[in-house]
Amino acid sequence: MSYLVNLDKFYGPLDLLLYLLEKEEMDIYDIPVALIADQYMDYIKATGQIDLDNIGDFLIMASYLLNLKSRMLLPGLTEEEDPEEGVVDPREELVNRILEYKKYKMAGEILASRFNNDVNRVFFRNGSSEVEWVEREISSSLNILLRAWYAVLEKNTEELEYNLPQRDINIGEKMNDILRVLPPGGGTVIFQDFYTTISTRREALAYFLALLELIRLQKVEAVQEQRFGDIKLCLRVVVSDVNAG
Amino acid sequence: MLMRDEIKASIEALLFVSSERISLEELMEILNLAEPDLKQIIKEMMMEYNQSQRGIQILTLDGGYIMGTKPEYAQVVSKMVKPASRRLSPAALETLAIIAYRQPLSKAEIEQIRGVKTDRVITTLMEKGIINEVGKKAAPGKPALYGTTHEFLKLFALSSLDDLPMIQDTE
Repeated sequence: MSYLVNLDKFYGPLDLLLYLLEKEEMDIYDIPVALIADQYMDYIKATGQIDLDNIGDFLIMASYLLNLKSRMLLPGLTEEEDPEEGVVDPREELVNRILEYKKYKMAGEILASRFNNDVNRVFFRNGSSEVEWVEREISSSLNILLRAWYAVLEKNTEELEYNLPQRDINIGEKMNDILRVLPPGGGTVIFQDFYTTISTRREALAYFLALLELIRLQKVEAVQEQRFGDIKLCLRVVVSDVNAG
Repeated sequence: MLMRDEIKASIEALLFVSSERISLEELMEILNLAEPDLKQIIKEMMMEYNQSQRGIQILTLDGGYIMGTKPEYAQVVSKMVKPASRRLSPAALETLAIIAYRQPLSKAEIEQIRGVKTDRVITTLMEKGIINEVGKKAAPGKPALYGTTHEFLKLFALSSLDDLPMIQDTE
């Protein structure tokens, strides 16, 4: 029994198969399926505990190999399947997959040699626009928006003492309310100001959901310059216009 | 109408200011020049940069132009610019190779070739801006199709995808 390398070393079942084939110098067009299936299984068993996240793909290949092995033992069946084309080798699919994988594994290595070649590297200027954009955009931190929402709740809303049946609040209407207030030229409106006119939690919630929806639809841009500060809203400018300017 | 030298100076200024690739069309519009003239002028500029003792050069990138350092000065520059975050795992490079040569293609197609789940690698490559979504496949579920970006060409010092090293089909 030879020394077995840990499965972690391989990037996938095909990588392991390729390794086994090359190690034993097997002919890829005439794979001894029984032998390779056994060796493959040795590796799987050698890993000890079965961690489904990592080993799942290896197990799929294992069952495929065992299936292939049993098909190889029953030559009569495969011959009947395709009488005119002669015998189709059941290993053909496997061979094609290994070759395909090998091709890209090598391509990856060629790319790596270019990539890691620091000696002849060409440097480019760093784009500064990207960083700026990340800081301005609020969509990356929902938490800040949520905190603003809690602040609004504390400030404002007392539950109505008598819950009279009232007209249901429509988020679509609230979205229109927000859009109507926003000046078309790109001027800003402070989101918190919407809450001066409302009285119920339901309505506050509707405004908040409306805001999230507008951000999601990319109709509105929300900017919060400091934590817990005012959230400024403005209509979103079409990106291509910005680039042209 | 600008003099030829002034045009060259303008192009130099534009390329200097832009950290990203400038397309030929964009230059044509800004400088109000016809395509053959502009191409000829930039070709001359490239030669001038290469012949004289300059640390920078003009490179073609996917049909546009960009300024970059000359490889001879990589060592000097890397003393100032740390190439620390410039590491990609073999799994990432393998995935990137598949995307580069076969684009556009979906995650399922990548996984079919690699035989393993590839979600995390794709996320990393997307975050680094080396690949992006280039469309949706006309198949059930409309899976995203991935392709490489200009950043990919810059990282691997390629002028265009046609410059990718040849890979043989079988041996």
